[in-house]
Amino acid sequence: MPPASEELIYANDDRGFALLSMRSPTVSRLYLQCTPDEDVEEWSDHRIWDELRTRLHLQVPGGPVLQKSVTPDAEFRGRAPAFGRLFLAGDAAHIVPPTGAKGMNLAIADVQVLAQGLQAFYREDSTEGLDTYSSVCLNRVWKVQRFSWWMTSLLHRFDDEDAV
Amino acid sequence: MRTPFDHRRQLAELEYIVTSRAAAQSLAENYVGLPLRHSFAVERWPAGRRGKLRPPKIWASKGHMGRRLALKIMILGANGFIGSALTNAILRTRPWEVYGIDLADNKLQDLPKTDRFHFVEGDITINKEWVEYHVKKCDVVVPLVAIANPPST
Repeated sequence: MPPASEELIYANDDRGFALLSMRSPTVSRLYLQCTPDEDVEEWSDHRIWDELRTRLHLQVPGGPVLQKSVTPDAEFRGRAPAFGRLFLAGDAAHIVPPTGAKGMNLAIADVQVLAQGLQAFYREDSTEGLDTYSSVCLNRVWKVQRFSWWMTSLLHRFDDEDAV
Repeated sequence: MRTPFDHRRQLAELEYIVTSRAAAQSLAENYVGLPLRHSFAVERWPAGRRGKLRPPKIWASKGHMGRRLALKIMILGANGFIGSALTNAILRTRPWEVYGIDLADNKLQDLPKTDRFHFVEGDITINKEWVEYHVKKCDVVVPLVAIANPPST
């Protein structure tokens, strides 16, 4: 389907958070706040589009839903992304909430640090870059975690009742 | 119920973001991404400094007695978005041997003609013996298996 908007839209609605992001001219990724234990089977395509239109106050054109799932927003592991000679990067090392939309940035930053660490190891015989890979990456991960948490706190409903 | 207090606080913060240049800039900096650490380490470190480990000299394409040092790289998910690009780049720019595995090979059709690429069409959750053998055999293992490609574009 064509995107409802070329701009990224974050919405703070009484019914809960909604996010519209365009991935390509024909595919969009959309988020709706729900309870973490929500059964995805209860969300028909029709219900998803209706809920998006309500929360975004926008005539979102419908279309086939290619994939749907319930994503926990609080999932975060501040573990070191290096274990001996094993180096993890991106989502394999740390999952951050989607609210900050930082997954790709973090992965690229990890790889940049790792690449320079490997370069120093093989060219300069120095292990310093690889030894500090975890701490350098975690430093950035925590900053992103802070930002994602702030975005979440700004846009979500927080209460004991279901979001919808 | 969402408390009116929380709601008003959120609205005040949203209004602040869209009216204050400083707040908008802070959001933009975080959203786009904080600056990468450029040239981390490499420029800072004295050349030739020795660390605790002695790494193999893989950058020299010719080792002792003119023998080519063929580093063995194992790529899990060699047919993926990143795996196929990495395989291609290694075969084009390095003298290394590449051992790849993936469910298909449709993204590996444009590789340079070489006998340094060894591909197995398989599933890492099934072909465990192949994986274990090559983990032992290879110098570097790059695990790039993931369900990561967008459903369609």
